[in-house]
Amino acid sequence: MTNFTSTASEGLYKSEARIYPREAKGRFATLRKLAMVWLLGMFYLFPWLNWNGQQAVLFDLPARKFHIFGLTLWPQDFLYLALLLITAAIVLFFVTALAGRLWCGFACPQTVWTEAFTWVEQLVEGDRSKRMKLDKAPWSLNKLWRKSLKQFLWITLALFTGVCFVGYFTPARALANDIAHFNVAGWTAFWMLFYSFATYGNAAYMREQVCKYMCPYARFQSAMFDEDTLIITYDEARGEPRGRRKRGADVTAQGLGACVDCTMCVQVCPTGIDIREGLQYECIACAACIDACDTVMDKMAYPRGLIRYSTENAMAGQQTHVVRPRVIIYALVIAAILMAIVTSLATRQPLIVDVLRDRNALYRDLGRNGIENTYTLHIINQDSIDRDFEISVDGIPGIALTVDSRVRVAAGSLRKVPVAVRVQQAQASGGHTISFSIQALDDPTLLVHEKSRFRGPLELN
Amino acid sequence: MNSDKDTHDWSRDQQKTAALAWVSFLVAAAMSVVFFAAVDPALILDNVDALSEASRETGYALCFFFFWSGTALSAWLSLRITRRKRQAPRPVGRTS
Repeated sequence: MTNFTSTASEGLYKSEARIYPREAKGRFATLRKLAMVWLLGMFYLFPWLNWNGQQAVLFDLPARKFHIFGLTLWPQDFLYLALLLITAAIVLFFVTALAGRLWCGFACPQTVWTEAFTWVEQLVEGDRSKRMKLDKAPWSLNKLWRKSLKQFLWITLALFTGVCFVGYFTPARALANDIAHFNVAGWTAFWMLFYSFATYGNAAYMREQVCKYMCPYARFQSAMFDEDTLIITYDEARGEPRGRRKRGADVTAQGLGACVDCTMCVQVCPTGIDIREGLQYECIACAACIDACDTVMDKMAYPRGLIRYSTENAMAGQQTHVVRPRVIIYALVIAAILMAIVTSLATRQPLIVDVLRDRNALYRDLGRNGIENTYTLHIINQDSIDRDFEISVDGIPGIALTVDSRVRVAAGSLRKVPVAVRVQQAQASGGHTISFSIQALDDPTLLVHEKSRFRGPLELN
Repeated sequence: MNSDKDTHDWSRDQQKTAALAWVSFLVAAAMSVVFFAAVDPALILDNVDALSEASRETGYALCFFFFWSGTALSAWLSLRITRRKRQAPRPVGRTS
């Protein structure tokens, strides 16, 4: 009975020891480090790279233009970006269905930055047992300088991360120059510190708590799982009953399984779980326990793979199906969206026109000369050559432009063209829908129609 | 600073606060991306007298925080109204 009450209260308020992950060495640790170097390398390097004399990757928010290696995207092209993001999400589902939480273990920014910050910690404070001892020890000169150096390195790394992050949205080299002269604009400085602070908090302190309590993906990834999904699992049939033994001891005589109960798999786990208790939602599939267990198995001269990548079906002695309806559906959806993107890009006209009606004046009464409305045409020439365009307007009898109808727009740029449109008094009363046509002079097929409203005085009867 | 304590796991309230802040942040960020793909913040600022001189960056930031406060408020309200009263443990150990 007392047992029952204690487990009930533990369920809600279980307090766990602080997690000091031990460094794992092995195949998957190497893969994880490579992923970290590659991903962080890209993140820290890209803002400083130039491409044809321009920042290679720049999401220029103030100018509302995206530059990605020579390709310029305008706000009107955001459809492609949105489709790409949707594709990325479905690819994530696809990978999760096939191989489980690969994203969490190897590619999630939370994992990658936690890895980097833990690496700094290990560099300054030593391995797991040294860190635990240092934390328990009273304050001394040794503890003080190690803790200060760790904080200094962490904060420097976090600040540099913030600068690079903002460098994706505002020209990075100019930003570096501004920082050197203590002359950073208000919002830029704010977002730099905001991202630095978030990195510091997430990677230095919150770590596994983010995955356990804050991440939405961690909660709904199980919906993508089935019996054929790759998971990290402990081979209970082979491992149990677990127990310590001398090297070379006769295991069958002692009635023991292959698990030597060294708890290395628990010590290396960044989320502090015991994989031998089965699949748990806290598991981010980083495979550190596989490396740790394989090392021990090698030492004991047992075969590897007591903890390994497997599937529920394989563990139950059944066949694993890689190709299955779920996987096929995800693959088809991905293919369909990608085809839509390619088709749309191939048939895209390199000309975009927006018509903005001048809101300050409803209309201008010119007496015998009619009624005039003014508009601003935003003509975006997305092509790589300069072009001349002819502007015309229709929709009301006798409607005419009162400005020069030819404009030249340079390659890859936007030109704002103010135009005035005049209609005779007799036709002007009330509101009318009119249509602007913009046509390239050298290529008549390059033609865009854009609707707007024409307003005249209301007729009072 | 958790390093001097021997427990590290968060309390229920900490878990809820963190989940609320983070999830509402992510949703607000996604909303901002979609919204600003269609709308130029300069057009919004033009229509607000006090902000007509402000830069696009101000527009982005203010709209983002507007979204974030909205998503956070709705998450907080959802947590409040779905909160269950803590029940006293049922007496155990009695057999009927």
